[in-house]
Amino acid sequence: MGVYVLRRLVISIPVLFLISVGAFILVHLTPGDPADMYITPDMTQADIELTRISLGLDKSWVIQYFEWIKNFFSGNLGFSFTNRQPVGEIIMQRLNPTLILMGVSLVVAYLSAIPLGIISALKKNSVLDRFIIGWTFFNVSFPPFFLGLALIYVLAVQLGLFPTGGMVRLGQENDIASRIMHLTLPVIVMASQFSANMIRYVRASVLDVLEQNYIRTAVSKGLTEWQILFSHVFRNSLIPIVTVIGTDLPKIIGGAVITEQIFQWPGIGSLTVAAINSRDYPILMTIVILSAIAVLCANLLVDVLYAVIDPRIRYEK
Amino acid sequence: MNTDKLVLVSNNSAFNEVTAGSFCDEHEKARDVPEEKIESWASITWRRFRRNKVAFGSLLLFAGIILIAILAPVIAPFNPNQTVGDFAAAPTATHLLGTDDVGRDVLSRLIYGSRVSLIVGVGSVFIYAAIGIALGLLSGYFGGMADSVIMRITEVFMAYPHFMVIMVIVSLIGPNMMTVMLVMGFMGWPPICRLVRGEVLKVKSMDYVSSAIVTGYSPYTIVFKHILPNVLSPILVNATFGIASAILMEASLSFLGMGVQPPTASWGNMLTSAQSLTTLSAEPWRWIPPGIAILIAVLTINFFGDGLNEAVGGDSK
Repeated sequence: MGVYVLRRLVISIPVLFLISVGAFILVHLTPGDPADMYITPDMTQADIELTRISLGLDKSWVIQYFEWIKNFFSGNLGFSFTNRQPVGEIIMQRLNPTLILMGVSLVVAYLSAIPLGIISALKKNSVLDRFIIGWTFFNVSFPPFFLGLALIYVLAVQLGLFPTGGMVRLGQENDIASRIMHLTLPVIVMASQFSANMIRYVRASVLDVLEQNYIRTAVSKGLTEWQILFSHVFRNSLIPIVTVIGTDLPKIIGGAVITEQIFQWPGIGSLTVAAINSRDYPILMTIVILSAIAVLCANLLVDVLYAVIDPRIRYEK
Repeated sequence: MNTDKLVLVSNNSAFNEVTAGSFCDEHEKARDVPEEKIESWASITWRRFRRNKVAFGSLLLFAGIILIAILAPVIAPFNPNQTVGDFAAAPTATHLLGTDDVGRDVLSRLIYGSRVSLIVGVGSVFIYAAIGIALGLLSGYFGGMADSVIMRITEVFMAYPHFMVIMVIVSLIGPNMMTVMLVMGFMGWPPICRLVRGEVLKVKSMDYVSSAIVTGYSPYTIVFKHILPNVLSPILVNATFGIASAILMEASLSFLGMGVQPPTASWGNMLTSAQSLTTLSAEPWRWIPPGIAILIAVLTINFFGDGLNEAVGGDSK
């Protein structure tokens, strides 16, 4: 197992390399010179050249790329073009709100989706099943921004139950109730997206397991429905569930662009939109690469989880 | 592991079902068609599809949207890009859905907006399906070096956070309808490429392919005449769901101001102004209709795709 993980990590390196080259090329193909940001009207041509040299812009792209990689690994992610703060600091500030929003959304989504998926499968083709399936279609088809706006319009503006946006009210940073109220609407928007996929996967997976011989054996040896459900069905339908978690996890970093934008949530998603609007390339590049690393880690984590959950899965060497 | 975000499609038994459908499904055949005739693939699919009322109704509704898009100049009451009434006026008999902030007719913009959604949705899927099918066939049929290179490239593409990267590239090269469609088209091919490759690998070991090889047909004939038709069903289903996600993505980009730019009307950018609380709360006629339009378009395509999936014998997730 350890060897397998190690091998997977080694395979990820070329992929990661290509990803970083892609991000680097993308950013450097853009018009404009980063040094322009540092130029003041009273600078002479020689001063400008000095700035370019101090930023490393006089060197070839290849050298710039490797210097950037070197800096990246030593934790120096460069400085934001807009406010010249270190990129690392800005990202860290924004990471926490995003992790809170996405973490809560995932938990809410899975806690509601897994029971719904199981019920839907157990009552296959019933009215309830049809309703749940129809509901998932609605969720995947509802434009997230329209859902967000509709929720703000009805629940925040018309009924005044929730705040229209933001993460905390100024001066009430430690008020848990107020934080939960701010969190509710964005969580509904995110969770509805996540839960739809999960419900369908759980349903299909449970239906599949129910047809297996060991379930028939369990029924015929007289186990109760609950025993069968918990000790046989659920455990065996976990594998596809892990797959869904694997596709959801990478979205934690960059997946909430629209939701964060609508609810003015101070996370990575709204930072991305702001960085695009102000052409803040150091920030953009870091976000893209961090998200890509998240994808690779999630893939690896899922493959390891498969083996933990299902002893039948063994990885060669 | 499979990182496809599309969960609605599973590619397992589509091939077996389709061929089996024409020969083994004696019961159905006896009931619906004269016995001496072997029914065509399209006819079987259509017959099965029509039984699903929701899917069939969705198809009709979607056909209606296409008709509206084609006939836009005839049915739109006003020029969508001209000031024809008061600023931000509520619905009246002349302006059924009111006017926007510069006095343009909302209904006319809604009608013309359908063109953007359909062109970008269908166009981008057309591009990525073409690339994905070509590379998938190449990768699956010939294997070897080409296969490993293509698979590594898909891994790199699929490791980037999809929406974020498209957003960055579109905003770098200049957002408009064409660039949105092209970028989505050139970034979206890896999942379909992997799908095609998997299907080809399954079909490749079939007897009829071996006999075609032994008979001395050129690889070109084998790939396009013998393999492609037999892997077509999952591709069609995948592409259908793809159109729904592409329409959602265009709307999301335009909503954020990073897609189709005003004055061109797109359902997404008609909702942009609702980010301001005044428009959101006081002028609901400006943002609710385009939101519902996106929802209906995406929902009908998803229902249609689900019916199609069932009709071609895909997994009934």
